[in-house]
Amino acid sequence: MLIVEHLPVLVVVLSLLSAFTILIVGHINKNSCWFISITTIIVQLVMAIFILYHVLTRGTIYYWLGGWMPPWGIEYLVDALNAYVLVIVLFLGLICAIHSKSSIEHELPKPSQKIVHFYTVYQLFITGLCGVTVTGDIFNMYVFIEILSLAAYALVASKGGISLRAGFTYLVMGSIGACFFLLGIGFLYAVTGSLNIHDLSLLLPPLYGNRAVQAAFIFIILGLGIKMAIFPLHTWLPDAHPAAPSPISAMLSGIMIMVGFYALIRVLFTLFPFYYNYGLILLILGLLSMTVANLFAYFQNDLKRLLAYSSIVNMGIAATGVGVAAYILATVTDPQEALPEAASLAMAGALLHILSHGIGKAMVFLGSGNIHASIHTRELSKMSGVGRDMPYTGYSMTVGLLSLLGMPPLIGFWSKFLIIMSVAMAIQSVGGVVMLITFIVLLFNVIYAAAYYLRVAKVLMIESGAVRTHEAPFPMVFSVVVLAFACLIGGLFPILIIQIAVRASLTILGGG
Amino acid sequence: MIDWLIEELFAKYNYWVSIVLMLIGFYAMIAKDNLIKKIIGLNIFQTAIFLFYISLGDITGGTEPIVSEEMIAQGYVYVNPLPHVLILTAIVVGVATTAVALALVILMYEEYGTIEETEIIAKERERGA
Repeated sequence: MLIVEHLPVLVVVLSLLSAFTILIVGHINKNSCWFISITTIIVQLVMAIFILYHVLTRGTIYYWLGGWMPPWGIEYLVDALNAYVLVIVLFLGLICAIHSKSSIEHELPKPSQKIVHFYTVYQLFITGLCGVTVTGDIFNMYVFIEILSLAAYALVASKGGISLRAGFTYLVMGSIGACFFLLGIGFLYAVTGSLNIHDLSLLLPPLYGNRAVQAAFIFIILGLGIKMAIFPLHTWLPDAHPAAPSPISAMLSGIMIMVGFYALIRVLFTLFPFYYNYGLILLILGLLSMTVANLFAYFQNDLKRLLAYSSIVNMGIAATGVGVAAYILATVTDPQEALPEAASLAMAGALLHILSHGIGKAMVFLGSGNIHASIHTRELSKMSGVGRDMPYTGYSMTVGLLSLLGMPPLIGFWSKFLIIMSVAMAIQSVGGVVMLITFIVLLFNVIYAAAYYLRVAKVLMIESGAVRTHEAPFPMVFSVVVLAFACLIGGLFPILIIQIAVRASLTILGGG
Repeated sequence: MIDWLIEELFAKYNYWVSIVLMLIGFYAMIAKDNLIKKIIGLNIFQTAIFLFYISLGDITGGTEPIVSEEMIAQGYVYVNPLPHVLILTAIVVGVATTAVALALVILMYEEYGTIEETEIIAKERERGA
């Protein structure tokens, strides 16, 4: 067994161990917390890149915990999709950890007391995210979803005051979601007697007509729908995400809902057939969430709340991409037929979109943290011209906003372009009024979203304001600038990333 | 009608009990104003799912799953242990959730001096204005 085949479990265990190391060492030396956290995440990121390279060149990694063969033991299964998501999670996790070095001193009450617990919970959060990504066992996935959610509730509430209630609401909603997911798993277990995702995909096909399987399908969509905040299950998000400290807002908006989205794709596409027609369900929910959230986002004066609504919009876009893929595949009746190009393109677009949205949204949230550190406000009306006083933050945020709205040389353009192009291809190949409506609504929303992104950019960079301020501390500026370059480089040289996304989409759609 | 009642309602009473409990918990989480009652609702909701799992694994007359080949040949029936193990994990998760929720409620009580949600919202408004 090669060493790289042990890495999936090491990625998870390492950050779990570091969480407890921080808790112990932190009480002796508070300053070491940040170093331990950063070092762990860097090592994990290197591991994740090795995993990705191995998966792309040699094929899927299977790791059996304790040497127990599936379906009896827990299996960690890493294919192109997992490895792709894992690298994004750890990259953004690293950047947010760097940012939190200075920003939590500004944003947490009594930071010197809380710093140890902050990094402990942060590492547990990373553990959960990595765990959901690498696991191939559906109950194990539930446990990791709960680990990351519990960490997220604590982190959201860590600012105290008004964010306590946001954290509590989030906890109630999140627990309902997790319980529905657990119930769905229970139904699947009742009919098959297995919990391994691969094994379930072999056992389920004769049982698709069974009512228990249909109930499981609905519960799983509901449960994970709450986790990824899709309309009409999104109500917790605009309260919870802005309430957290900025690096945590960035993690929640950039990564956590993305991991929920990954779990939904993994479970739906592996376990359920297309004749349940979840493509249509995802399509309708996706279009509704982007339309509704767009309308709300435009009227926000609180910058972080605006960005939180824009996260729902972007999750809607990604869900629409996946929905289009599933909808096209549902029309293919002959299983021997080749995978339609539009379907794999739509899926690749959705996967690329979670990357581009993750980078862009994380950066803008971190940037709002920089502004908060300098002028202590989140209200847009008080931010006039702040970007010119803080040039690095200001220009980086402009790049991020332009990437989110889909400006060509940036990475956000490619993801939206792939999704819209695949819908256009689907109008030709599949036809039907559904695709046409999707195309129109999608295009309208992408253009409409530009209105508020540009408004933020205008307030930051063009308007003249009375506030004179200075640049934020170095770690905060550094992390924002790195993400701005990531947007730019990813947009200028998108071929490699698109290739990986296409590989991942072929893996999940079963065409490669 | 009587047949339906016997087959669907009385013979599967364990599932009905867990459905009813789940709805009670769900109602408490949505409708109650008191945050502690919300947490109690959450616990009832989770417990209903635990009961569902446990009753899945149970067989009438089944005993502990420590068996040999000969015992099975003699018609020995045993209970599937896996749902119980899964639920042990889920109970731990539930306890952790409750702990976090209670901690948040304590902090909110220190901050606002009340655990009624409407009063907390009213106080937030006052401060915001």
